[in-house]
Amino acid sequence: MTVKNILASGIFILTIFAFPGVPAYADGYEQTFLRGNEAYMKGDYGNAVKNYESIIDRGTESANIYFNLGNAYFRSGEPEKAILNYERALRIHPGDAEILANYKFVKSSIGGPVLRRRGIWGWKPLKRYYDSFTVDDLFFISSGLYLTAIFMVAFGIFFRKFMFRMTVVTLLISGLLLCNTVIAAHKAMEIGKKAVVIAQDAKSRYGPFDSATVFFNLVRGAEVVILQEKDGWFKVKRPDGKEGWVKSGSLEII
Amino acid sequence: MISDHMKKTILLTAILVFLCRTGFSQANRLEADLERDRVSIGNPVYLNITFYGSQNIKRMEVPEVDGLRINYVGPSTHVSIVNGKVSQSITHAYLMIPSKEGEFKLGPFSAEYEGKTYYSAPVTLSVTSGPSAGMPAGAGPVSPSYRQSSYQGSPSPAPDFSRDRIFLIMEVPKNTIYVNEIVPLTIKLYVTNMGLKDIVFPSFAHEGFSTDQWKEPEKKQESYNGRMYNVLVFRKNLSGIKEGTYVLGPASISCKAMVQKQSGRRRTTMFGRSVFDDDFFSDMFGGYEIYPLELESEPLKMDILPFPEENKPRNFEGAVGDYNMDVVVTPEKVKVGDPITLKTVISGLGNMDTVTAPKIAVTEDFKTYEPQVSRKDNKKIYEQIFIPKTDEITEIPEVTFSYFSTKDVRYKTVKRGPFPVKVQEQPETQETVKVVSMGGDEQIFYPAEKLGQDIIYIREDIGTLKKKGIYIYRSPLFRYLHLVPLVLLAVLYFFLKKKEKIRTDERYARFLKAPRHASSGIKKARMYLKKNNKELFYDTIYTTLREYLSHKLDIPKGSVSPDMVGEKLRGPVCGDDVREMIKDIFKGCEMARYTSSGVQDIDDKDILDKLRKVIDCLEKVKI
Repeated sequence: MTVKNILASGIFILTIFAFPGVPAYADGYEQTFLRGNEAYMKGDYGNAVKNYESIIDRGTESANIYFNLGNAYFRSGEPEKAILNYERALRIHPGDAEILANYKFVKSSIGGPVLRRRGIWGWKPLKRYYDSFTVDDLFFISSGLYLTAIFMVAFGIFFRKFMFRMTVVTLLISGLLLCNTVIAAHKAMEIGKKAVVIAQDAKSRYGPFDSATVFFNLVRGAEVVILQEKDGWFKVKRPDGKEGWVKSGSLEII
Repeated sequence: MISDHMKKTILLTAILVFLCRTGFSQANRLEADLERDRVSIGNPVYLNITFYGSQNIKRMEVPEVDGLRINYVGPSTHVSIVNGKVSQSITHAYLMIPSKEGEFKLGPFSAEYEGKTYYSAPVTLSVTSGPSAGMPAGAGPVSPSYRQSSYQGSPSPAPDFSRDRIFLIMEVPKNTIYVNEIVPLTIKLYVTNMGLKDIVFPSFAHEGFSTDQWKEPEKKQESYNGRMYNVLVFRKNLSGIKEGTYVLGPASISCKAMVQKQSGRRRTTMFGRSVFDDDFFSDMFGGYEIYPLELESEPLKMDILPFPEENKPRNFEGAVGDYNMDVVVTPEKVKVGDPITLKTVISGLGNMDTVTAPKIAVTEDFKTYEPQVSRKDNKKIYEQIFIPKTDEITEIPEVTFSYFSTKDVRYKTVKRGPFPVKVQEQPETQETVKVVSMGGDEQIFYPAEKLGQDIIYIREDIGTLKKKGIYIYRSPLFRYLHLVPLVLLAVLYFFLKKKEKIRTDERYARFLKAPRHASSGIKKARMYLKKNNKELFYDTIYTTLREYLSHKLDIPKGSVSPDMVGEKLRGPVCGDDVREMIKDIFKGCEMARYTSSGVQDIDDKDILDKLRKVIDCLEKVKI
């Protein structure tokens, strides 16, 4: 066995361990997906939704399935579920222009207030960066910065005369690494906590009970972050920072 | 005429200016002391914890002690100037009422100042069952609703603090209210024939209610059970949070009673100079005795009712009170895309916190934004922007607001509108054509394109499939792989460090290469032995051993001799057998090299074996 063969085998094994979850055999999914497309083309949006959802129910997902599912929901008159599925598609392919276009179109068709995120996460350049990558992408960027920093340190140790310059570069890279990791960690923390309002006129109250005073209304399709769960109620936070309690059935997690 | 307040301000400013000029010379320290260290059960005693050096020290936590009821009284500050040296201090006073006999050790207490922690010495309080020295005879509790104590240890008999001279009453106009309904709470402090000072705002348990801030207390005179009292009235609003039956209070209040000494010259005032003023000059004249008091009112039972379900309007969101609504729409004539502002003012009496934006049945023909809210006294103002999308709009829909009227005990809905508006088509702008520049002088004018809008069509292929909820960054392998570069970096670092040492430390370099050279020498010797070339074999054995010992023991090659080596290896480093083997090898080599007959008598393999053993042994020990 040559060194080249050993290396090739190693990389293959690493790939298997590091990137789990890619289905080896996807023919069944492909056929279901095409059946969904066929139904959509015939205007049978309900059937299209069923086909697309049956793939997702089997524990598999792709940005294209969510995209088509969002379209089918929109055509069947459920724009809030369309938004939910476009959000899910964007979670997998954050920068996809077509998904973004449909998402914005459906969002504008619903209306409602345009709420800007408050604080540092509402800063436009940061938000653009945050929204352009998946959580895995962000962690890969951190890994790349980490490797570069290590390489710079090694280079400085090996070639002493570059030590000072390498130290400066390493410090800069470490700063970038820290910032990127904070962003990645924030994004990772939001997984399973971001939700879309699917109920018509969901009311956010001061407490987790029906008689509590209504604080604000949430229009369908609005995005919130779940902070806490209690007795069938979610404590949610709107992008503008307002917090209140909403019945758990009014939301669906992205 | 300069007012008291002005005098105080001038005095304080002068002190501050002086402080800035002179600085503080005092060393920081924390001290704890008891007013008396021996008291009887039920008699209060003050614990004073004083920090010298700053006045910016928060109250210290005094842990709960079984047998002592400890209440925080408040801080008092002190600044003194002696011979131009300024010292300042803050004293936090705690009132302790013992309920058990015994010795109580309190402290040491600690305070943090400028990042440093200061500790006081502990204090010990002895509580006896009998009356203690220095206490007024009748200073025990007179009524279950209040307690009293002597502050200055007066030898005179304790004054009368009975229920008809001083008491506290908590009142609400009604005991049954609805959720969110506001009810005014009044706490009255009645007192006659004595002065009070250092009165703090009352405190009371209010589970099930939310409260707002205390209003400015009011002083008045009032008759109660046929007797005139000076009354201090505290007011605040309560509102019920959740339905149920709750107990409000009891309310408690702490203050100090100023009772004229029997031989005193001054007359007792009602509440000193002001209800919260300190007695800035009172001690200068004497004539009063100060008694700290703690008064308690009776609790109140309250019922909070839920909103009735009958006739509950669909858009009711919990507003309680009696309200009116005014709506203004401006402008009434707009073009498509221009904003119309709908200003709604809800005013009236009730819990304004529960008032939410009025409901408007907005159609798809409008683009709307979240209403902006502002509040002014008993008014809540909502301003909402409506942008008409078409010129077919003729009105802004009706505005409705529902609330529960506690006065009439029923739901009410106020409706305003619809409001007629005139929407005109947006005129064509001048930018209806685009200029496209071409090469040369030719230019083509295109009319502005009207673009339709819809969602982008579905995708034909399924895309890259992945399992739901699987993220690479969560994989343990992904995390552990990050350790590899660190390990490699450490290896590289130590490798380079060793290389550097070899380059700069000749002794170390020779020490390291000794076993490698010896190993190649042994190989060579074995080869000569195979070829039966005894001369070269012994030459190699001799050279190998001499070089090895020279490198290993850091001695010149020419100085290597059995005696010198024996000397170097003396002690616990190697056993005698190693030294003997070295001697044998040297002896054997010399015999073989210098006498022709000697070669016959020597066992070649034994020599080679001994050489290997010597090297093995010296490699294992630390030299």
